Amino acid sequence: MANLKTFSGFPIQNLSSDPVPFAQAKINNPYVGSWASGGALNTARNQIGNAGSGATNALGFGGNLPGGEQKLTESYNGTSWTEVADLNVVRRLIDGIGATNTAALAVGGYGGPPGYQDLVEQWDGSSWTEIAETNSVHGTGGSAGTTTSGLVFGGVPSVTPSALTESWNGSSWTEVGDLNDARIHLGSCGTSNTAALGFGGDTPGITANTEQWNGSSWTEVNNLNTARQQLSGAGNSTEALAFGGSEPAGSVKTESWDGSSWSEVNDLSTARWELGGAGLNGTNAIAFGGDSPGGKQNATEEWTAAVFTINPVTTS
Amino acid sequence: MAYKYCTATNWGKNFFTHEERKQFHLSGHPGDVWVVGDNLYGDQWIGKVSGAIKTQAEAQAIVTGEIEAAQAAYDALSADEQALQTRPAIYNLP
Repeated sequence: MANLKTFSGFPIQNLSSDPVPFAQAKINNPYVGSWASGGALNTARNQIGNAGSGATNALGFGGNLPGGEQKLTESYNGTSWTEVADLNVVRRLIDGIGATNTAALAVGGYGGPPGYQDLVEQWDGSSWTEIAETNSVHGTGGSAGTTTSGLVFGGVPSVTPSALTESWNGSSWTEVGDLNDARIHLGSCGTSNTAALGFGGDTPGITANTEQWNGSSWTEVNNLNTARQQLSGAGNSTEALAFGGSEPAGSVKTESWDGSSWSEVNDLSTARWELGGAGLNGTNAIAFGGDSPGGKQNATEEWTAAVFTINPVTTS
Repeated sequence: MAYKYCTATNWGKNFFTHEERKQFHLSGHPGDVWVVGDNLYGDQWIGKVSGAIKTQAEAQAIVTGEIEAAQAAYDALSADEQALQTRPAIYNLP
């Protein structure tokens, strides 16, 4: 009688613990994943403000078309984008804050004239309302947090880029510790005004520099593997993603942050810069819109980390 | 790595899936041009999206034409507007 080895060509292994490839894969990079296509924005644009929790919940507001600044707002539900109420003031290059598509802040941005602004609008899920202004003008910077605990930092092109950081406590803005490396067009992420990351940007000169905010000061940590500007980010200060941007050529690169260093993971399908992005961790994120060599993008991509499963086999 | 080239319009959700991104190379370019890893899974995806097969030269011509149009649009902007944006650059497909 033929045994199983004859049929299958190899013997079944009898293991008493997880096979190494599974365990090692998780240790090597628990956030490894891939981008899949999502529903397209109704209006292709770049320099778009963003908020949300990831691939099933995001908000894009303002931005730029060939015709100039926009006040359009679109909300994503995991399948499609829906146009909702406009911003009160047209702007692009907004520093967006918010962990959900029902609560967000649109901080600063460019709308000419007067150019860069100190204006702040708050989204409550149905409309935008002007609230307390920042102490300085903002735009092209980094941002993190929620509508009750937010942070904006860097940005605002001028003679020299800004290192300025302002913290929001739900009712007012306070200037806090500056970035070590002043810059514009940086990527960023973070879920509160006490923990954030800023990475990449233009100082001037494209940088890979990464800084971590602990609630009182910025500390330089390990750099991105690929220097770039006009990129997007998702996550928090201990697990994050950096994606897209300009190297200066359009980038598809995605890097994951494990709390101490960046690792290259699977690429976006389409190179783009000045894109929107959102997500609260390194395993679930969204990338949308942006500029590309062929013009403004409406494409959305959804990041989900690989799902590792153990399928136990009982033998006797 | 060997590639195939096609044009296909991205319809959004499930145009490409997480699983497909792990099975073959896929990159999107101007003019709805897609560069697809030349393997069984890549062929299946081209069929799924009803991709129109192109030679590399044909695909490059589409991409270059789209970028040249985007460059012309950029060049027509005011100096102030150009300062806020990036001029697209022509590149070669893999």
